[in-house]
Amino acid sequence: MLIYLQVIETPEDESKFTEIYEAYRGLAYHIAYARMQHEHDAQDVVHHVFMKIAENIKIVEPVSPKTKQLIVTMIEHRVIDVFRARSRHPIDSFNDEINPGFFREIEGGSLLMECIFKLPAQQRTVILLKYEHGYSLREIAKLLKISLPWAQKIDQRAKKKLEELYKEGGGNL
Amino acid sequence: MITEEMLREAAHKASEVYTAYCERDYDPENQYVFPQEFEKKIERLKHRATHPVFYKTMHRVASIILSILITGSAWITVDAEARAAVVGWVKEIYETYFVFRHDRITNTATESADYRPTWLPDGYSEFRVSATEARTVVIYANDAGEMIRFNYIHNPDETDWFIDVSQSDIKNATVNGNEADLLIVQNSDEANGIAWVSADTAFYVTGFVDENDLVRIAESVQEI
Repeated sequence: MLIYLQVIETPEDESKFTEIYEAYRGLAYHIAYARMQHEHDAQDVVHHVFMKIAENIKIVEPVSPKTKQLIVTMIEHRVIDVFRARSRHPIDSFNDEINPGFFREIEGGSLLMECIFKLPAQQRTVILLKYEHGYSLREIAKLLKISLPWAQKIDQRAKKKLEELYKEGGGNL
Repeated sequence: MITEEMLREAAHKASEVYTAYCERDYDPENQYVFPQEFEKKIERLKHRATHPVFYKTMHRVASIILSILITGSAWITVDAEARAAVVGWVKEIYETYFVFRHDRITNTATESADYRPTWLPDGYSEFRVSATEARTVVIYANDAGEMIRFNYIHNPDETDWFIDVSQSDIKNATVNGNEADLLIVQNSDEANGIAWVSADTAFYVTGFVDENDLVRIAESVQEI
């Protein structure tokens, strides 16, 4: 069977996957290791993310800044997922909100951008995949391996939370 | 109201900024070298990238083969009377585990319902939900770090659900008129559990709570 698989390869998809892997494996590991602080755990995270890329190769762009951002978003999502699954005290032991202080000085930043960083990790991931990468909720559900109804709920909650944060931050709606 | 255009702009900037932040001390010239074993796993992914549908089919076939192997090797230990069909689900009882298996072909395109317990012991709140097309797991935790896991399978095509009962005393119970199995562990380091089937969905709750609370949680489960 494996021999059969090797014979009927479609070169375009394999080549796209290889290029993405070779372009971003180093960065993917760098980010995963920085968060996990463990070589094998970081490898597992990288493997999981490239597995999702492989499964969804048809809807992933070729190597581009956007694809790099997608890899970064998915690594971040996976790291948080692993931490949460392992920890008995996930809320105390792992803060899944990015410290917004770093981003305040960014040129071109906005209140809404800051609010996105304040979202819980899963909500932030869905917002980035939907509005930056243009994926539908069905595609997001597939990428994150969650159900479509659950992806819809996360999307709704994220938007509600963004409105609250935006108002709290002084934004006018 | 936050418009879609505002969201697109903010998400674009957020994504750009966060990627730059992650790259700030990354040196592409000095990359981590992945072990050969890892690279072999990636080679296999390349084939998956080329044949995603084929791999899904293979996964399903592998599940079925595994199911047949397990069933074939352990069938002689099964009491035929213990095979109880409930609304399409079959619970097979082995010496050290239960298997919930759906016994009929259904239309998987049907939208599945979401469920949650409407009662939990004091101090527990939801902190994680993991959902696939077939299964949902909701974990509740209290301040002491104790957890209650609420699991259900709503897609019968997801084949089998194995529940290890080797460390448990099994007691009969009823959840809103449905037969249920209480799994009470002998070891205080393990969680107690309750499993039942209702409305074409198989449920399983585990937690460091006593059997009365488990039944109360189970009976409070409602579609949301």
